[in-house]
Amino acid sequence: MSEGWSLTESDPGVFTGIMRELGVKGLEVEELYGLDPDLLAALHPVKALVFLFKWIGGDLASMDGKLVTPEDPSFFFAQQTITNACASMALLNAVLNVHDPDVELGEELNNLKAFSEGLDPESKGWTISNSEKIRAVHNSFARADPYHLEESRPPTADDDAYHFICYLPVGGKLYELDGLKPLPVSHGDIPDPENWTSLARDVLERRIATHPPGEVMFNLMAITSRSGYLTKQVATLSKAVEEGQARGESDEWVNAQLEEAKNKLARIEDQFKEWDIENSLRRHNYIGLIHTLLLELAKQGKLRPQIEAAKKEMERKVAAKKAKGQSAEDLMEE
Amino acid sequence: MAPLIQFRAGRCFREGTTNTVTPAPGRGLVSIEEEDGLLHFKYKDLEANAVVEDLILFPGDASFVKATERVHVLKFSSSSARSFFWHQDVDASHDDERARKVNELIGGQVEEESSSGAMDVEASSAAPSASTASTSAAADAFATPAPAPRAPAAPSAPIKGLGSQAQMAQLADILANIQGGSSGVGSDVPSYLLPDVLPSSDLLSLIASTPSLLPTLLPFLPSDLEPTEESVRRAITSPEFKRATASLDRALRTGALGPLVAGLGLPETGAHGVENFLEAIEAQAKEQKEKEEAEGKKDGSGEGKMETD
Repeated sequence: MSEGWSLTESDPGVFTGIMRELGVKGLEVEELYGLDPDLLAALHPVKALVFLFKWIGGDLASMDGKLVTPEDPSFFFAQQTITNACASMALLNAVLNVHDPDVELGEELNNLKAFSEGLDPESKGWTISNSEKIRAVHNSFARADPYHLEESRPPTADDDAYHFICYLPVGGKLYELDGLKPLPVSHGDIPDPENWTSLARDVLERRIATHPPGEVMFNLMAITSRSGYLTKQVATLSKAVEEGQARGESDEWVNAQLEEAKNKLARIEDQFKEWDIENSLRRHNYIGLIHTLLLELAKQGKLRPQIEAAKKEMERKVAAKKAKGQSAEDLMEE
Repeated sequence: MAPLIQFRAGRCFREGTTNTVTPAPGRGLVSIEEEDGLLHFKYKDLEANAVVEDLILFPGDASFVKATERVHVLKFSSSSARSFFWHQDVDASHDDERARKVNELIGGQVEEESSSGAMDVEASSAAPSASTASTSAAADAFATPAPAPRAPAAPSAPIKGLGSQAQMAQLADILANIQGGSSGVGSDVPSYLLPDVLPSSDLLSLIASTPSLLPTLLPFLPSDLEPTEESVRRAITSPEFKRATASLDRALRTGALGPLVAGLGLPETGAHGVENFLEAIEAQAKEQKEKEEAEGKKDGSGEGKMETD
C-alpha cells in the first residue's frame, strides 16, 4: 500500500537531504563500504547505522537479541506503515533517538516526538505516515515525472524489495529498530560505551553470515555528525595555532592536525555540493531538453535514422528475452 | 484548497487523422483548483487514482465550450490543441451549467453554441450515457464511428445488458487503434522505445558536432547548475534523463499528454503515441528550419552560416 508516497532511491544524498529539509541540523548520512574498524573510525562520531537489505530470495528470520519495551518514554520506535515510506521511517526511527547537544531535530520532528510520546509503535508509525510535511519532503526526493503517472507505473522487480533496519545505542544498550517487528530489539549492554559500533559490527556480521552469499544484497550507511565534529575541531585547532603563534611557537603536529581536519571538512563540503547537484537532477523536468534534442535531430535529418536504430535495438532486446525464455513485455517496465 | 468545481468526465480522443472523436472508457474527474494563486485545470483518472493532466491556465489561455451533447472541449488560444471531455454524471441536466462555470473560471471566451457542421471535429455516435458501470457507459458509446455528422441521440436511461465479453473485446480493439502506438493492433510490445531513439552517446556527438545547439540547451538545465557544456553532459547522461524519456514514452502511449504537447507548440495529434509525437516534432522542425533560413536570407549576410551543411 503506497497511498501517495513515492519511491525514493536509497542513497546517502537523498537521506541527508530528507533530514535537512525536515529541519535536522548537525547530522548527515554517509555511505559505509564495510564494517572495518577503520571505515567506522573515519566517520566518527557515528550516531546510528542504517542497514539496507535487498531481498533476492527467501524470508529473513533472524532473531538475535530480544524484543523489549524500553522503559524510557522518550524512546522512539515506529512500525512501518507504508511500504514506499520505509526509508524515511527508518531514518526517523534513528534520528529521533539521537540525544546530542550539537544535534537539533528542528520544529517538525520535535513536534512529532512530543505528539507521539506514549503511543504504541503502530500508532507512532501512522503519525509519521499521516504527516503532510514529512510526506511532502520525502516525495520531493522522488523521481520527477511531470505528469503524475508515478502511481500507475507498473511495479518492477526492484520495488518493495528494500528493507531498512537501524542500529543505535540508547542508554548504554545496543538497539535494533526494525519497522517490520512489533518492538525494538535489544542486543544488550554495550561493553565499551565509547565504541558502540564494535558491538554493532559483531551483531551485523552474525546477521549477514546467516545468509548464503548472493541471496541478499545489502548496503550500509552511517548517520554521523562528522561535519559538525570536524568544524569544531578546525575551530579548536585554529585557536591553538593562533595562541601558539602569539607565543612565538609553531607546533608541527597541531598544524598537521589542523590541515587534515580542514581537508576532511572540505571533502565533506564537496560531497554536499555534489549531492545538491544530484538532487537537482533528480527533481528536474527533462521535457525541455528532450524536446530541443529531438528537434535538432529532426532538423539535421537524423531523427528517422535514430528511430530505425531504435527499432533494431528493440528487435535485439526482444530476441534476447525470448532466448532466455522470458516475456518481451518485461521490456516495457525497464 | 477545495476545488472550485469538480465533475465526473471521461476523455475523448481523435481517431488518427480523421475529424472524428471517440469517447474513451474510464471514469475520471475534471477539477478546477486554485493553488498559490494559480488556476489549475486538472483531470484525474479515477481508476488509476492519479492526476493525469494538470494544466495551469491564465485567463484567456483557453476556453471550455460545447462540442456536442454531453461533450465539451478545452480549446487553446495559442495552438490548435483540443482536449475533449464527455460528461459522466448520470443526470445530464447540469452539463452545460457546469461547463459554463468552468469557462468562466478559466476566463475563456464565450462562444455561441454551433451546430456540428461549424466545428472542426465531430463527436461520433450516440452521446455516452454514464451509468454506474463504466464499461456499459463506454460500451454503448462505441458504435463504429461514422465520418458524416450525426445527430446525437442521448439515451435517457442507462442501457442494461452491456459490458459483455464481446463488447469489451471490441472496446479494447478500438482503443488499441486510437492510442496510436507504433505497433499494429494486437501487439503488446511497440516496435521501438523513445529512450532508444535518444541514447546518450548519440546525443553527446550531436552536441559536439553542432556548436549552435549548446546555447539552446542551457535554458533547460536545472537552475542551480552552472550553464556549461559539462552540466549538459551530466544532465543528458544521468539515469534521470533515461527515466524521463522512458516515462514520456509510456505517457504518450496513454494519450494523456494533451496539455504538455500543446505546451511544446505541437498539434494535438502529437499526444497520441510515440510515432505521432515524433511526426509532430518533424513537422515543427521543418517549420522552424524554414523560418531560420528565411530569416537568414532576409538579413543579407546574416549571422554565421546561411545554409546548414
